[in-house]
Amino acid sequence: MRIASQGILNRDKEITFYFDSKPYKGFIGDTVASALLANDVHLVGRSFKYHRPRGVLGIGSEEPNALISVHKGGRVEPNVRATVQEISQGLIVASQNSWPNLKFDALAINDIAAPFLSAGFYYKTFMWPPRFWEALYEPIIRRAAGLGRLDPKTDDDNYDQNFLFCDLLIIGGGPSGLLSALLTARAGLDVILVDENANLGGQLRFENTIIDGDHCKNWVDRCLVELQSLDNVRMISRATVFGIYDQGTFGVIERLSHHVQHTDNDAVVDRFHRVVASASILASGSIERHIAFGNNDRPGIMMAGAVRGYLNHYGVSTGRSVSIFGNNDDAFNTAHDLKDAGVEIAAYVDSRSDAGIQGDFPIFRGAEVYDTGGRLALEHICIRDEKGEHKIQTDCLGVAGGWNPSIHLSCHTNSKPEWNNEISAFISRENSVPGMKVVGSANGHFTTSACFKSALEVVTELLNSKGMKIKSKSLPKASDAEYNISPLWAVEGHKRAWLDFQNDVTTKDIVQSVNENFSTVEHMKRYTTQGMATDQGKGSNVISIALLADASGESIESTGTTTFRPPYTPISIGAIGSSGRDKGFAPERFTTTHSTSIALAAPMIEAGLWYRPSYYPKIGENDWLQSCNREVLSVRKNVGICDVSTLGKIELQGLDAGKFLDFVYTNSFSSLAVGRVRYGLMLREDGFVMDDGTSARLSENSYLMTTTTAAAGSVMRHLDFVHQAYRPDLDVRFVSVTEQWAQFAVSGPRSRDVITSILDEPLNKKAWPFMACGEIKVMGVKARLFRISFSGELGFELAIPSRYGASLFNVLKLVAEQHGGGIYGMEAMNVMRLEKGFITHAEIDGRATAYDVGMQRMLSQKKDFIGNKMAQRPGLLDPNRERLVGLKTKGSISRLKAGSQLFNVNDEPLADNNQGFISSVAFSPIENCHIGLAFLKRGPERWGEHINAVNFMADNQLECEVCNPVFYDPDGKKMHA
Amino acid sequence: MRILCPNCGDRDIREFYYRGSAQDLHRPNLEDRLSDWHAFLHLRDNTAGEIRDLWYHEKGCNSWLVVTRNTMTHEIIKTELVKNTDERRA
Amino acid sequence: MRSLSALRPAAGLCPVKFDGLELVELDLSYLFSISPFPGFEKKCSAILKENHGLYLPKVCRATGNSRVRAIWFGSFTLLVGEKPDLAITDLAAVTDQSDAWCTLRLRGKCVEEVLQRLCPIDVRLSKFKTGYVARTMLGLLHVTIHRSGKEQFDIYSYRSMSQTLVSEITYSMKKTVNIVKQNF
Repeated sequence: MRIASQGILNRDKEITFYFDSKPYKGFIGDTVASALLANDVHLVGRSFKYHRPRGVLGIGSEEPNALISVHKGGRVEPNVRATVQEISQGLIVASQNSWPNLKFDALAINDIAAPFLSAGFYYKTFMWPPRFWEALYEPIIRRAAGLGRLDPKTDDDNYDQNFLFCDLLIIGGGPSGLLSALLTARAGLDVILVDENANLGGQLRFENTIIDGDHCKNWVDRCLVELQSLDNVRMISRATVFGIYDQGTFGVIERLSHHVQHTDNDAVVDRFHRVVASASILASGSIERHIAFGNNDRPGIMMAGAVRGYLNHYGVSTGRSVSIFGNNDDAFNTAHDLKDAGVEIAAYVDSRSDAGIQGDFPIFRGAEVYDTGGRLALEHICIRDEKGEHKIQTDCLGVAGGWNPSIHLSCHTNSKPEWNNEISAFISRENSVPGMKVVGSANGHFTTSACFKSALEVVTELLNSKGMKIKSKSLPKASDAEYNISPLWAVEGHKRAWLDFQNDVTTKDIVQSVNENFSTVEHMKRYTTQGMATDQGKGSNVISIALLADASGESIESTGTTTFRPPYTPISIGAIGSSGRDKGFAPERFTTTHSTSIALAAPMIEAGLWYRPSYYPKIGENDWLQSCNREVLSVRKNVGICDVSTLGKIELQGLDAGKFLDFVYTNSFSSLAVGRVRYGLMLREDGFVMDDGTSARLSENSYLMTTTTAAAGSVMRHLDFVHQAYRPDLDVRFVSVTEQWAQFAVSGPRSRDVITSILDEPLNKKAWPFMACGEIKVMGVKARLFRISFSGELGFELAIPSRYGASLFNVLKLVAEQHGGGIYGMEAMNVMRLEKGFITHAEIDGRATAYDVGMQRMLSQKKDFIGNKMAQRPGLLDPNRERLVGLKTKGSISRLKAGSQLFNVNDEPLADNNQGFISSVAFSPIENCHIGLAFLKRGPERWGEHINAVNFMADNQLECEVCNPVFYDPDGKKMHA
Repeated sequence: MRILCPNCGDRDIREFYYRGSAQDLHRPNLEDRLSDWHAFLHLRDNTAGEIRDLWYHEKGCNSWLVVTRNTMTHEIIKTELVKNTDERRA
Repeated sequence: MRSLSALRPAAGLCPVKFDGLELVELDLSYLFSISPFPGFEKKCSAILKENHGLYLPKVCRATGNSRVRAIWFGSFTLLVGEKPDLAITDLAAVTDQSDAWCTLRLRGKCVEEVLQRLCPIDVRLSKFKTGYVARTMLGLLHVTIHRSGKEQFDIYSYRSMSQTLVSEITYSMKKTVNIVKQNF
């Protein structure tokens, strides 16, 4: 019920929202929780396991009970805390976990069956028969238990992200955070202040404390005005610091538009900030805890601080006749504020016999609430004191079990908190996070004046450490009383008393856990599920630890806490992954001929980040193989053009460039003549093949290395390492020129004609033998020509500055077509390299040695090179190793499959009999059969043998012939033509 | 996690490539025994405490770094360019 | 006689404009990587000064003016705008990179916010001043960023990734404009 005279919420604008399809009124700035309470709605949900009626318990992000589903657009977001969700005009929310409706929930039957459903019930009951678990038990349990339902629709909300940097991050904008921000910003630090609520002020939003002779809200407003006026302060509200990571990295989620109804699809919903700050102040405040007494979970039973907050901030009385049950002096404030607002107080119950409270309402000292009554809402409480038992009619009970500092973040980098007897709560250890200080009630200072004092101390220390001075040490004066507490965790009684409201854990579950020997805190947590719900036990963990300590005969201190991990509160994955949407997931690399290929309807395939054409379909061709065969035959017969720009190209210069290449390649390059190209093999230090490619000597002191497309990055990394770590003495500089040059393979018997027709000066056949290279001019543009071949035909590769790539490709295409050829794609290229037995990363897959691929002769014995020593290990030269061979099928019908395993024809296809595997396959239009490259035990000795290729995925096998891996032109006459 | 690159300053972990122990810098000579090479390549301590690792500022200045880091506290004690470390063999 | 036509890396992708934010492709004519051989750094610097009026930049810095400048690129310096004299090739590894890089200029009021969303570095003027250079990431791309003015950044990325580069920056420009609108 709303009280006209109370609250600081602006009530100028009344709006309507819908809860379970029923309209309710509220004001802008109300949360769903405050607005429902203003409408006297206490029942907001059903519990996870027993389907008990539940109401709003708290007032902040720690809320365990009041979880709702929010409808937005065509989607539903489940498990939103009603205490956090602000209302907007037309907002639609719904309760969860009840059927057919909230007031009559069929599965409330579970509550009657509760004696059978205690902790461990599922583990013990649904064990047999094992196959029933997945098929029957789990689906039923999942349906019965749970929170909201996940919307299966794609999350098409708009998320955003950011990298922020500051000198100081302040977490929490309550009295300590605000004062810390003021003091540090005035001194000149670059400050980011993050607060999880819509309005800054922290606990001061909920109090009537007088600061500097004025209501605290005015002090907050003055702080905000000053902070907003400073350039070196950034304030982010509705933002949660959800995790702390190494070297001062903080994860923050800012909720930008959950509180408004956006018609604009571009509106950002959540924004993920990664904040980097060398110093931080944790001013995250504290969370009030419950007391475990019989039936302490009925709607209407709330935290006392929440009762006070709803009254002082929202002007909402959470009941008509409110009672309070506390064990500390903070409970007094709630009673006094209610009384001052004219709310009837049914009873003030304090477990301490010496509780120093005075007031014009029934006070029970040394008393406890041991049971409550009411079906869907609280109707009465049962009190026990030295005079006996009393039943008191009341519709709201505020429970003040004491405050727990919110130290979760301080534990994210593995620090454990320590127990503080004085406040009966855990506080964080000194330097729990490097560079972070904990202030205010987050550090156990539970009065505003103590908060201010702790902020001043921490800020002074921080500024001193940076050699800065604090401007003024005078503090605002706050009127508040001391905080005294005498811990009370649970009240004796035989009724069930709840700890974790979301997971329905009771005090009995803790005892049972200990009885069954799950008595350490981490075991108890997993056995009972205490603290494992979406609220992560923010309000309940400490009580359960205290009860565990009691049941296991340990101290709270030695029992300790479970491990706090990010995120502090639930966060949207969409925001965390927002940079990975669309092109952000993986950059695309396009060659200069990309749009030409697309225009020619070539299907593109990915090669690393590159996109390359598979084949160029022609009208009348029905499948890729037809196009591919045509392209292969056209190269073999006439000429073909292929864009090979994606190969890594690295230019090396310097007096020692040759020496450097000698060290990274197995073979010699310092001996290579200028104007010549050589094939090079690169090993890893462990002797296995890393990459291969050709290197050209452009001049005395300059070389051009090529790498495979996929390994360009790792080869560059390797070269940098070898140079910087092993051979900085060598006078060599290298730089990637992959992007500078567009490069085209011109292959086929008529390739020389094609090249000649586009060069400014004719190609002298004698001056351009196989493996020659040099500078030439193409239509007035300086270019490079290499006489190399990956197809096995007479071939050239022509490199031209990238700006001319697209244009040259069109020219080459035209000329090739005039010579009866055309352009070809990756499929044809792959067929031709396979026919020639040229290896790619399908063969050099990290397990193959030079010996395996038949290149052991390339390992120079005259020099040291990377991988030399280890390549000589006897095991790597064992003839029994699986070594490269060719495979052929009989006829063109049966297809080979890469990945097939090889077995001797008469052997069972069992692992013990394995003879090797197929690494690549293709249909060879020249051989008119399917061919493959394979690794076969003693392979080179077995040419002519027959072997079974077993494809376990398709469950078939194919007999094929082992042969020379060079199927086409084994003497190389064509390449040398 | 952040690494202080001697060239570029304090940078986010995403810019770096991790290689492994700085033991990789102690490359034996070709004449050394196979067992020395085996130790160089394959044997690593699993230290609870200070370790020296190789990182590459791949999406930065392309320098290889030796980062001294405590595996218990995650504190980074020192970052040096590989070129400038004593461990490097000339 | 046939002739070859040239295409710029971001041809057809730029300019992009949104409420006071602008992304354009720069036509820098020449880009040459220069990496002095050991011991020749000072001589190289002197030759550059003589021929182009600028020194070799220090780590993370650029020298020169809007017409010709030298930008630190990690393992080399990129001479932008002029062709280096042959004399320097004895002292340094010199490589023509004129076609290798896509160079975009991003300018406007909220230019820092555009980059802040994409780059994991502190791009605020107080920390990243005019004339500063950073080799870092933009999304997943490896880029070199040169602050060429108070509200202006020049971004160098691989030519082959121009499309992704423009798409990432455009997306961020759009979001920057939207967020500004959303907050008012």
